[in-house]
Amino acid sequence: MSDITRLFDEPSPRARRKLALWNGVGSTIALLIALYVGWVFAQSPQMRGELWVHFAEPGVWWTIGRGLVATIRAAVLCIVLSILFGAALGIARLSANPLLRIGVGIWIEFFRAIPSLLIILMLFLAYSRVFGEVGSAVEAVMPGFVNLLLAPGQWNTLGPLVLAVVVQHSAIIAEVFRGGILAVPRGQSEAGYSIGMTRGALLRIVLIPQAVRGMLPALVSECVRSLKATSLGYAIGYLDLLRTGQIIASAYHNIIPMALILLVMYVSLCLPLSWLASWLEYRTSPARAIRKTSTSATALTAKVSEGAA
Amino acid sequence: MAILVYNLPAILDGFAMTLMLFAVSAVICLVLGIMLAVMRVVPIQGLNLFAGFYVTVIRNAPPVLIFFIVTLGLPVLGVRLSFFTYAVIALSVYEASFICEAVRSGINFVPAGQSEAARSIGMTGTQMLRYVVMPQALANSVPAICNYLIALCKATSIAGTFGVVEATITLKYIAFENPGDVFVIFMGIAAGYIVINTSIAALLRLYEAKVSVLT
Repeated sequence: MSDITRLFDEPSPRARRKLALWNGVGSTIALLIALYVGWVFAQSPQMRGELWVHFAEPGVWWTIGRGLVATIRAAVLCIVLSILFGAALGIARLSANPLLRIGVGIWIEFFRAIPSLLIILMLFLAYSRVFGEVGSAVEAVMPGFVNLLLAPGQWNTLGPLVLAVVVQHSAIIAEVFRGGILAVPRGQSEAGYSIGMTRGALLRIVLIPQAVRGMLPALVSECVRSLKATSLGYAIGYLDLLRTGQIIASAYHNIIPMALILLVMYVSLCLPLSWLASWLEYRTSPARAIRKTSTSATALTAKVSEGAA
Repeated sequence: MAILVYNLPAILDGFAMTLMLFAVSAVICLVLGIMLAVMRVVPIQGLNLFAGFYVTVIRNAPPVLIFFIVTLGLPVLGVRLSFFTYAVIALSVYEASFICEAVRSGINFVPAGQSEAARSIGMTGTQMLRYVVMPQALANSVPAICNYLIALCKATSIAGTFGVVEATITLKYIAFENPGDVFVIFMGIAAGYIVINTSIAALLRLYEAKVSVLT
């Protein structure tokens, strides 16, 4: 809304009539298009009621629920691991050792430039058996509930997916981290060094806590991207939400209803996180800080003038 | 290395397809994205709502799902096109929402005085957008657009899963015949992507230098 008031004047009565006309014409055209598309849909066999009937069966929802759990499992693993690795890489890129710095820099640039799907395919084609063996070894050791949280019998696809997404997203998070730490005012690290802090203590106690606040919006949007990236497991047959949906759709030939349900499910998973990210961004934005300081300044002036009176 | 040289024609064919996908959908998604950004800022509520809804939904949907809907959904609705066209539609629809947001934040960074000056010399809203606001907004958003174009180039790899033989999926085909050499072929294809993405970034940096001199 703010864009509108800034770019355009408050409309004159004549302009308002013109806008109302445009709105009317536009809505009519949009309505006609919507009706036409609806008609085309209604003609196609995909919109017959019996294709939606399958979604009344509890078994279908049970399967979709398992896919949903698989998607969330992969997303949580990706997010946690890529934030950990990303932080480590970001700090390593700021290290005093030039070899480490340059090596990590090359690593980050390499993985930022290639598609995740390429890494997923490579890991799957070359090492899926290794992942499967590691998985069954882990499953043999771990207690049952941990195995339920991880993917029982799906390590050969979950492993390549998670590892690829982590490698790629940790490279992006590393850059976010580095930028966040560099954005902390210089005086902070100078003050830390001057009271005799080591580099590690400085990072841990002074820099990272301050940097994380500024990075929070970027980290949350990275979570959305990780969640979206888990659907790449479709290509190697990881039984996530999308793959389960595809299996159901090919069993019942109800691809359009299934696709609509998947769209709603994915959007309602990601949208709260996106909103959180933009709320965090708004909360830390300079515009809000200025408004806050200016209101407190007004309050202060009011108090001062009261005192003077 | 020998395996790379032997399979070079297949990999290059794959990259030709990747570049085609990228070029066609880059043009379409830039046009769509700029149109959506304009729709979000003009004072017509219907357009604001439509563009806002589009951007919110598409930005929060995984690209693979959009490929899924376009490539598997359109045929059963009776829209039969080639896999290449489906891929271009899916990529453009997906990436346009990001371009829209990049351009819109570029518009937000144009100082308010610019549009006020345009109005004060009697420009209409269209003239103001066309000659004053949009040129500066586009120049502002070149770095963000550059990032999204690189993301688009990476997203073309999804088309491989949906019937288009592009660079990423050639890894699978070559690996079927040479199961032992997956990693070498992976490095070869990765090198190709790095060359493409570095060139995109370099070209756009040149363009940015040019437009920022003009404004």
